[in-house]
Amino acid sequence: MTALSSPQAVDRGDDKSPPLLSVRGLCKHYVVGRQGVFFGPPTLVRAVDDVTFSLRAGENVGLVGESGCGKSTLGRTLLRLIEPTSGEIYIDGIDVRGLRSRELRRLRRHVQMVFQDPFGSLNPRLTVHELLAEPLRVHGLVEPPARGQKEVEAVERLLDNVGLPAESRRRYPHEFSGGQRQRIGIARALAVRPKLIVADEPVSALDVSIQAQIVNLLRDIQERENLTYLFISHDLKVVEHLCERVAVMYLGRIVELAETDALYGAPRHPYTAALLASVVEPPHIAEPGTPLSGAPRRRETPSQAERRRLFLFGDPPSPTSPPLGCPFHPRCPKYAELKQPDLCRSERPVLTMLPAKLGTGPHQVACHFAE
Amino acid sequence: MPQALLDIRDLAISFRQSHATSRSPNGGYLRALDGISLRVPPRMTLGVVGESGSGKSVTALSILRLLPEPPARIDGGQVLFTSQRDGEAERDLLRCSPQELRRIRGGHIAMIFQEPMTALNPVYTVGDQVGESLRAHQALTRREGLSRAVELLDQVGVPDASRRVHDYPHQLSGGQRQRVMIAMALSCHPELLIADEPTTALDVTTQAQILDLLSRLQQKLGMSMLLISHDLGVIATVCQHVAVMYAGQIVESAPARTLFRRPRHPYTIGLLTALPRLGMARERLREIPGRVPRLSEVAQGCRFADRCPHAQERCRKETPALLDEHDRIAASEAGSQQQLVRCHFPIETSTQRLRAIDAEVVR
Ligand SMILES: Nc1ncnc2c1ncn2[C@@H]1O[C@H](COP(=O)(O)OP(=O)(O)OP(=O)(O)O)[C@@H](O)[C@H]1O
Ligand SMILES: Nc1ncnc2c1ncn2[C@@H]1O[C@H](COP(=O)(O)OP(=O)(O)O)[C@@H](O)[C@H]1O
Ligand code: SF4
Ligand code: SF4
Ligand SMILES: [Mg+2]
Ligand SMILES: [Mg+2]
Repeated sequence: MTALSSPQAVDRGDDKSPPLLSVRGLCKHYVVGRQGVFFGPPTLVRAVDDVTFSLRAGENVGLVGESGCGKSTLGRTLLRLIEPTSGEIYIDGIDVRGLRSRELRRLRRHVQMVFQDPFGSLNPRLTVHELLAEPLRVHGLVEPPARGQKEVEAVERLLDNVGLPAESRRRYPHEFSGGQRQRIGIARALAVRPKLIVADEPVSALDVSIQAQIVNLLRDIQERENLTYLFISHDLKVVEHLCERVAVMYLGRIVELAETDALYGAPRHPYTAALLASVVEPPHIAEPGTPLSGAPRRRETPSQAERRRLFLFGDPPSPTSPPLGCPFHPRCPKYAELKQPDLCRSERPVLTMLPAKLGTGPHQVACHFAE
Repeated sequence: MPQALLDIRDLAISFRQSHATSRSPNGGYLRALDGISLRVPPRMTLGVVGESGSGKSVTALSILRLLPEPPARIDGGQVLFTSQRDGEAERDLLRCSPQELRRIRGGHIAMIFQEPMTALNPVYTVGDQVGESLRAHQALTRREGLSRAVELLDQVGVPDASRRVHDYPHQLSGGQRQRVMIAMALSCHPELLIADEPTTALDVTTQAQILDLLSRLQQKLGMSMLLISHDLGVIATVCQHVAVMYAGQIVESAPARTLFRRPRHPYTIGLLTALPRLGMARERLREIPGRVPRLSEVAQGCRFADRCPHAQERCRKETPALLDEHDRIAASEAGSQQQLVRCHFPIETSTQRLRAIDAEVVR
């Protein structure tokens, strides 16, 4: 695999072509109270803390981590649905943080969001036609009049794109099943022909059989339209299927970032290893022809004993008072294994590029003892 | 067959639709469960898996008569419970007196839910609540109740239990609250624990801990467990026997290994192949086309027929029965003779073909 041979391959920011999305030192801190009664220093939740990464056009990057680690906050700050506290965001050369509210509309043409709960994000009083035509009208992407021939055609094309029949146009969101509503949500995001889609748990609320349909749909669309995805999910299995690179977050920070094969095949941060060890799956079916294309690559699956060794104990610590040093140390299996080195308690590891080594590609890892 | 602890036979339940009128068909009632039969032997874990709306929770709630009636209506069947403790006779929970039912709920069968917050009282400390549920079964002072609560919370892995007993539910994480729920459920020394999606609201890391805890407790205490989940991975991790539900019916039921390795119902196979799995990066997922039928759409014939790649004429006309289709090799592996399948054309698992695949997998 040539993509894994140079360390630059992972940080796409070093590519010749400028990245589509580039984020540097991004922070979102919430003030949730004050220490002491009145005038003490503020208590902060560092929902997103000093995050730096970039996406190349056409790339599909996954963002994973436990609940509350800051995935949604990060996704929303990129569109300025949430105002960042500090840091830089460049999308296709546009300085997102410098935009005034009117100019934000232009940004929304380039970047769209798909949400977990399609019902909550679709106005129940509008027909599907109105839901899909609205963004087209706002951005002047369709010839007037409203509900005219041209508009109807455009809406029907969008519906066809996501595998819904043209007559769905006349119906209301509540008349659709969860999977169909998610298709509508995706069609609405695609309406303005964006370059980047931030998808926040788009398949998490769906049943297995429907989830497979939507995962495949998202993939087909990406290939067809050369879209760039930031795919947020807590489901490591879905992310492996869909993404080329994966970033792992813990307490507001990226702790590991690597190509999917490298990250899943040989995780180099103890937290990533623990997350992977926690995934449960049924045994493989003993039926021929299970995979659609060739035999699946089966990696060694760890034994139950091996998994127990990697299990995490306890919960993520309180985001208002993260542990000093490496914020992961109270739960880190490696920290315990290494007999609790002082370094893990005294100094916070920074995200550093580790070169490829036998059996795995280069990874960016934030751990003092990463190998 | 050994006496089952819990033996559900042919259970049928309907719900009155909120918009029903006097002229609606069936008096406005729709069948949510149709002919459900499940057996939980002593000290065994049965998993029930299915997509949302398939009837898993209704099954769980009906065992302890926790469904509101109306809108629920029991149309038929039995829920036979035979305590393994001395001097207890078999009884049908659907026909028990309310006192009898309360006794069984308190002393023989316990239940935990997906969202522990709704089952915990926000205004009492967890110590008070666990202590209170202990005192409901044993003569203990409040103080004794509290110190037993600390032991129990310690047993279910709540760190620093002696301090945590003074916390209120909202001060605990989701995983810790689920542990408290488990502690309360165990306080009555149940013979059967019913767990409805106990880890669905939790992170994978916490889920792994809770599943590990449930399996260890089940073995250590010799309980039976009925574990309900939409997640095949969760079921596979904990259960010895598995039943798959689809649109209010059981479509396949077998020992776990048989069900996962040699499924015979097209829906079970569809589910297992639609599942994203680790180690199959960028592999296209197999889809099951269409969606689950609504209760109002269920008609004559096989309920999976519209989505089934093997459907034929007969499938749309004749409703398949749940029959034993066990296959000798699969049965000898799993040490059981049963693989119940509700399908006119169960998928073949010929000996030779399976040997060939096994050889491939080993290699
Ligand atoms: N408006 C807010 N005020 C204060 N704290 C907030 C606010 N929004 C989010 N947070 C906190 O920021 C952190 C990150 O939250 P976020 O919703 O981004 O997590 P997430 O990774 O998306 O989690 P999930 O997987 O549960 O969706 C959490 O600790 C959360 O409690
Ligand atoms: N209280 C109720 N009133 C009316 N219908 C109900 C009620 N509870 C459940 N149902 C219906 O029964 C079916 C099975 O539901 P449930 O057992 O909750 O599914 P799940 O498998 O997701 O747990 C669904 O169609 C649901 O809408
Ligand atoms: S720096 Fe130390 S505590 Fe942090 S992940 Fe690495 S080994 Fe664990
Ligand atoms: S009965 Fe027919 S439609 Fe139903 S699962 Fe079997 S083959 Fe498919
Ligand atoms: Mg989120
Ligand atoms: Mg349920």
